Amino acid sequence: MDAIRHDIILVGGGGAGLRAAIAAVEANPKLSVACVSKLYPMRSHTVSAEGGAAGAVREDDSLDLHAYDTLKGSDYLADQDAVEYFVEHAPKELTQLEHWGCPWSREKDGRVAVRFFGGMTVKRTWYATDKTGFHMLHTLFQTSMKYDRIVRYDEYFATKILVDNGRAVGVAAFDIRTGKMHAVLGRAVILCTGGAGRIFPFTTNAAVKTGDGMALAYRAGVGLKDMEFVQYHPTGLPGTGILMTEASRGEGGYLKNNKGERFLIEYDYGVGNKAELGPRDMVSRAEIREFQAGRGFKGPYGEYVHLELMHLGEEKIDKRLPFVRELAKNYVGVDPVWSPIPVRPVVHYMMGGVDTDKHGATDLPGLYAAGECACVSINGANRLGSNSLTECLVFGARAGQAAAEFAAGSSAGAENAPLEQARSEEARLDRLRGKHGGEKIAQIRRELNHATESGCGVFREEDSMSAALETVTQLKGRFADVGLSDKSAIFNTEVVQALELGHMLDVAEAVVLSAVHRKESRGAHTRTDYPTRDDAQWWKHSLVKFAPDGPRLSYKPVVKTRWELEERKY
Amino acid sequence: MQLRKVKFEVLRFRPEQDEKPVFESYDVECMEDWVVLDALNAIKDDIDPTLSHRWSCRMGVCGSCGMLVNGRPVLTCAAFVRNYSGTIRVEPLSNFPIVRDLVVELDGFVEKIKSVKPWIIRKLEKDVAEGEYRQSPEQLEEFKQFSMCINCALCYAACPVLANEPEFVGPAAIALGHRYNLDSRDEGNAERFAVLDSHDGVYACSYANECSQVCPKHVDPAMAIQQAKLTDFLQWSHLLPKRSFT
Amino acid sequence: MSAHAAVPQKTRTAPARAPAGFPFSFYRYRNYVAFAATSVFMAIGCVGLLEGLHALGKGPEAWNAWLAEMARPGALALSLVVLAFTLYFVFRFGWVGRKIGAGRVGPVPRPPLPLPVLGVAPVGGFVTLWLILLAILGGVLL
Repeated sequence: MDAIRHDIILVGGGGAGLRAAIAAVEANPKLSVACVSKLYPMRSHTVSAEGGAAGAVREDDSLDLHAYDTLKGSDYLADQDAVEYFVEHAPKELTQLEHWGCPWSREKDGRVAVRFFGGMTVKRTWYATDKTGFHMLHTLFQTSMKYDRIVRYDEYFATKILVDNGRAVGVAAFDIRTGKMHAVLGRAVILCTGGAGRIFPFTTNAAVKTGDGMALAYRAGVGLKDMEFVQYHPTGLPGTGILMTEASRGEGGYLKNNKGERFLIEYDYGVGNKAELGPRDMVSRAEIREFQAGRGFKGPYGEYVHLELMHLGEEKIDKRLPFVRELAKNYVGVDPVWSPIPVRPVVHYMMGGVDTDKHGATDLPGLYAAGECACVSINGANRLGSNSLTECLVFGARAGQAAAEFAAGSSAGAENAPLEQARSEEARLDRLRGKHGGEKIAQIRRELNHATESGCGVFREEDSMSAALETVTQLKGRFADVGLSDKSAIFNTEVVQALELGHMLDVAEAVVLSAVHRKESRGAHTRTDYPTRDDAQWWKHSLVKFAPDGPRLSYKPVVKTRWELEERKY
Repeated sequence: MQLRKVKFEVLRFRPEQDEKPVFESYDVECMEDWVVLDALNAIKDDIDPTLSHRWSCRMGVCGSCGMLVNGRPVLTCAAFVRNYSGTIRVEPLSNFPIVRDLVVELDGFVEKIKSVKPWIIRKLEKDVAEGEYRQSPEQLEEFKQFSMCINCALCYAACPVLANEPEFVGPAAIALGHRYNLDSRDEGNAERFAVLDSHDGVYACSYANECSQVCPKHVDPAMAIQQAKLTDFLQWSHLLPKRSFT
Repeated sequence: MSAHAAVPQKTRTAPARAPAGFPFSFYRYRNYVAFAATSVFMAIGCVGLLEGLHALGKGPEAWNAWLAEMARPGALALSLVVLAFTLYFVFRFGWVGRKIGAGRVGPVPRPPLPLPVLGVAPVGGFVTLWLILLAILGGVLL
């Protein structure tokens, strides 16, 4: 096996990954960047994001206000220094993307248009109709093609972070097409692999969101932070889980129960006069409470409420929410111009992830992470809509720059040890293909999904979480006996699924473990047995680290700069 | 919810064991609201895990799952089983070499996209601190439609020209180049001219219009190509300058 | 440039297949093949017109001889076929060409005349000439 050598190894080619790649080559034109992605980059899940990306640009807005909204939305678990960095760089990053050709929607005077979004006090969400993530990703992908020093390894699956002398020096990755394992070596590694929504059965996430980078970092000894905080988006289509963007509420849509009431106003769910534009955790909880009170609609895929857009009119819907209209018509047979759309809470985003500081650096030298797979943390216990696309840009750029600085200042490592590790990975992959065993991938995956949904739903309590943790631990044991049918090397997607399932089991274990031990309710983590927020005991980040005899849970302090903790009322 | 048993004939190709592609048949219990992709996943999960196919978002925006269903190029995540009667035939996209089962070789396609220089080209870049380039909603409308391409390559599968001239740059690439040419912030259409004007560029198109017929996102690449032809001719004959606007 | 593109054909592939239904089984491909075939008939028509022009230049006997040639049933039938294919070409060109009517051409705003008209004018002229010729042959004119 020969090593493939570059300076910076990027894993993942979505919004954060491509931004990091461009930032690295712009920071230092002598560096060569490898972009290792299990997908062609334009297929990355960033492409499905719809609503928008927040950045404070209007006269009636300020960086402090964006920071305050974000912090309050996070239920004060976000690190304030990171939030300050985030809001300061948000407008610049969004403008940079505009310079690169992103077709942001415009005001009549030619300036970029902004709209309201959940939890935001003023209009600050930049948007490209209702396909913002799509336009952002394609702009980044097309712009990245300008740089010859970004070398793409499309459809290469990274299976392990290679560590030598206490430093991350690359990844072992196999070419899905040939089945051949490679050692991709460099002086810094950046993980931009996205979240892990697929550990749940009902999610807006694409098939590929299996927490690969999180698992890789975890197995390399880096901690996973705040994993218990899983965002349920209030408006997913029943059955498929397809996302109905928050922008539909930002443009004035209503949520109604089976009595035709706008329940967020009618009953006290803590969103105040924000109503439908309350933060996502509160709106999702409200919907579940409506179901529990018997005010939900019943359907073959569970209960749901109505998202009403009829009063917006056909012209506005076609202009601002055309994709929403198309999706509703295709997948639930409803034309939102005439009828309400059925929606229910759906797993959407992981606030938690690989523990990094505000430069994207982990505590393993040479290893960086950015985007949904990382936890900086700016989202704390609950993320505000339209902050994550901006997060990809701001921290993707920062991690790219930081990795470039690190790479410039460090020497290329020796090849022997990493090549040895890569050869072990090759052997592991060979053993996995066509492996004999009694368990089936699809069956373990289904049982995992069932466990996470019953243990880590919108409302949680001790017994179901403990049971879920027990199940996940058992499933990990059963996974060792998984059997595969496909022995081939060329484009074997069964072995890819097996590797992804292994990653999902590790991530799910971290999620449930952190959840069962956090004895309070904060943001998206809501417990019926501990229903209030407890700053005295629980104002801290959870951290899960790998150990041979089972994951170790610890805690680390939240960074505070200027804002005092408040009760979270809207 | 009703279940219906549907027979799927899927073209398989395992290079390590198959001389050439061969059809295999699967009976799948399908729910009423399933798409063809759901059936393929059911085959992979529970019937034949050796089936390889690409998919990701399952909502028609990532472009991964393009295949031929009963001979027509579609996104399998948007092809509803209820709209087909009888046996459903699933094959990989035409006009592309087959790597494995329903997976085709797309590297050539991505290279063609790159060849039209799909990025903003300007003589002088504005500093980010000075804010955005002003662009009116009307100026945005001019190229917006052509920016909606999800790179699913259905247009390449449908194009009869590509069957005989595989070097043709193709509908998606030309539409993308045209998108940048029309963007008021771009000044680079002279740079794209060479590729668009070449033998394999816009003039290889002979008005089949099939690309626009199959495009799931209503990009209308055929329109982009005809507009690009006219622009190209006017520039080639010097009736229109190549170096464009600020 | 991606690593893949640098080393194509990394594994054995099955050859690319032509679009399903091409050229004759699927109706839209049939229409396209007919559209492509119009070039043959338009070429034949052009040859005929050139012959007529040449005869016109040679003098009245040559012209009348040519007219008599063209009035024979076989030649008349061929003329009608040429006309049909030419009209089909115009219709389909216009139908696809109507799209050019939208949008801007480079920095120049859309010209005042609809572009399909501009595009179709030369072919329209050809069709008009051919219709006049048929009228002459049929004794309606001259």
